[in-house]
Amino acid sequence: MSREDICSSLASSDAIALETLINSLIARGAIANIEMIRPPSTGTIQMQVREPICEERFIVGDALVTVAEVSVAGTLGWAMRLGGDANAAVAAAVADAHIARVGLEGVPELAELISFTQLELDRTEEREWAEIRETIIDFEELD
Amino acid sequence: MSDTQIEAAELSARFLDLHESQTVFRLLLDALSQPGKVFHLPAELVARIPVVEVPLLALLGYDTPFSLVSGDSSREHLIARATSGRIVEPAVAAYVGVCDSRIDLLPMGFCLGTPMRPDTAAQVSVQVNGIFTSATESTGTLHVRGPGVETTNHVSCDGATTSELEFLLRRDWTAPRGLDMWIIGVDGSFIGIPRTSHVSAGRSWNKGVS
Amino acid sequence: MGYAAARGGLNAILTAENLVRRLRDLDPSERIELDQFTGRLRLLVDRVMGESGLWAPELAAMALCQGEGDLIEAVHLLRAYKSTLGRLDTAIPLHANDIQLLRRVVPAFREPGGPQILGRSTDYTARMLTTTDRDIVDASDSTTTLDTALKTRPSNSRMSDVLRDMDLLVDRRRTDDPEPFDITRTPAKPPAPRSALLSSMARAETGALVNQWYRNILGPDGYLHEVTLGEVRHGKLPINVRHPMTGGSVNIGSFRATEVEAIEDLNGSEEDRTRFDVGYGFCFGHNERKAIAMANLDIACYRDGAKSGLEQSLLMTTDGLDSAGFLEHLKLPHYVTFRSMVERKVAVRRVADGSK
Repeated sequence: MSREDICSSLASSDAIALETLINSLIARGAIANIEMIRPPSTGTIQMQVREPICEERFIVGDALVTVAEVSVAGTLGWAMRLGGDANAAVAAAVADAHIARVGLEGVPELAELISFTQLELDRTEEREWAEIRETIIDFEELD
Repeated sequence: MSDTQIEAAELSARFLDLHESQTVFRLLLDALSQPGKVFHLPAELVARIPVVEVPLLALLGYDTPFSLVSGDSSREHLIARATSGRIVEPAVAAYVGVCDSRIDLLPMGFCLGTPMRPDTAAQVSVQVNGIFTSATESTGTLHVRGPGVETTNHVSCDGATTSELEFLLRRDWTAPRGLDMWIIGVDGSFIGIPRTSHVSAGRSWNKGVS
Repeated sequence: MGYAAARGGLNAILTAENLVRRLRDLDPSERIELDQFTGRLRLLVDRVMGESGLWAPELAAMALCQGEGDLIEAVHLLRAYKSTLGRLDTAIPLHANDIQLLRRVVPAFREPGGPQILGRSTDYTARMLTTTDRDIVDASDSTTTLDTALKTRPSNSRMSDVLRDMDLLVDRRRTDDPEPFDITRTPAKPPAPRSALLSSMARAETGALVNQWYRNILGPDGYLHEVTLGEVRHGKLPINVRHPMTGGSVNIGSFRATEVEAIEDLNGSEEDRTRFDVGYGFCFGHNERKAIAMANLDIACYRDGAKSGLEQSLLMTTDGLDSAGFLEHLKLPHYVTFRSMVERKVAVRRVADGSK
């Protein structure tokens, strides 16, 4: 899994599960020497859409996000999550840094959380499609 | 410390929290509205950040065009990372930091705005190797007059050479164009010189070591 | 117009504000939880996000709660909150084709390339007000036989692409890529680039856009005629940003949007009458009324070519906060204005009486 894919999973992970896991890893010394580089800050990111008629970009609005940057034993980590949860952003940044340091295989609990997150996202996707596809319609034209 | 650890430490130092940003913003604003009066940047910021960068770190926002004229592009990149500002050429920057005030660009080489859009002029933070203190007519290195000053503000800059301060006497623009500047000493003492101020050499102008 | 420099009444003002808070927060009914807004009043939450220009469902729910359900008040609260936040970055621009469909109907064509999906819709529902609790239908009770070919989502073919393939669509695709106009930094005034118009309409008040469209159909303005709708879509789009250390793309989640293509039958003497043109609408959340009006008005504005005041109307009169704010400022004291008008009338009458 690429670092970007891992970050994507961390951005979507359940906040409480992620914070709890990171806190437990810190408590037993598996993650140490954490330094806050960029304290968590909530702000906005601008969203641009390229429309398909003229292939022109326009700004549809902003999304609320929280970003944080940390250093774990000298390795920089970064995370951005939708919403205003500062703790979750810091936890995700710590996870990003730690995984960048030791690899996903070096921290099986985080690998499991990431795998579970992906699975949940896929399941949600499937459930959603299973409901929606029942509304597929094929009108008959009357002569 | 490894290179990454040094980079992390330098980056971390440059993030201003909400209160620091507000404090610096207020100081910068007050300095421009009271030209020639000596102010001081917060000591904790002076201890961790090069003084010339403090105004930039407080004022820059996402995509704000800026330039740090220092000869060290890594510092520019650190500022960009910390503020999300956009690095541009000095002549078109909205905010400029100048580490050595003896450069030719200062003061006329930066964006001076236009008569219709004077607000597009650059705001410039300039570092000098001296310490600013309030002075009298007989002891002042610089005399400052103009809007915001009741009669004349006299200020000394002990330790700075005349060549470092000469740019203030070369300001040659017609209002409303011009630069708004903060001149910052090594200890974080600073003065604000808006474009409308008139600056002249004080009686102790030539007392500096050149 | 002049305003009175009025003083006093601070206690009354504070008491009035306190009255709002008290009566709202201490109402004997059960307290509303935010997930009740996002779960059961989703369309209202979507409208608030769309009209404030900020995708933040929980905050929109809070704003609705605080504003006691007043939509414009909620938009005001959300935009005011947004103004206190710094802009951290720009997401990687996405293409509308990145949409993961939740609904897709194409009124113009029966077989528009890819299935039509009604999705979550009451388009064909009789409007019978339910006055009693009803049992929720269990989805697993469905006995529909599923086409095995549709176990996965189909690709996103588009009605406008079908028209292009048939060489029936005027090609307005740009080869340059201008930076989009940011209406949150600079107010847009005519003549404005199309990106400014699209941004303005994307966060316009829904009723204002619908009204603009309708008055041009049935009202005196007559800038446009009815289009045929191509795509009417609701779906999810990804939000991708750059990882600052690797430069790679990171998906941090998604947002929902409604997207409409409105097909215009070109009939102007200087237009290519052998082809169609298409207008585009896109807004946050599930808001088909708004996106349909937006698509209609996009093509109308393009065809109008600044001959009428349509562009000005769209840019300057459709923002909910602008219009409601100006309207409601009338409630503030206007003592000087009115007193001067009274005095003028008395003076005019005195002169008239004196000359009789």
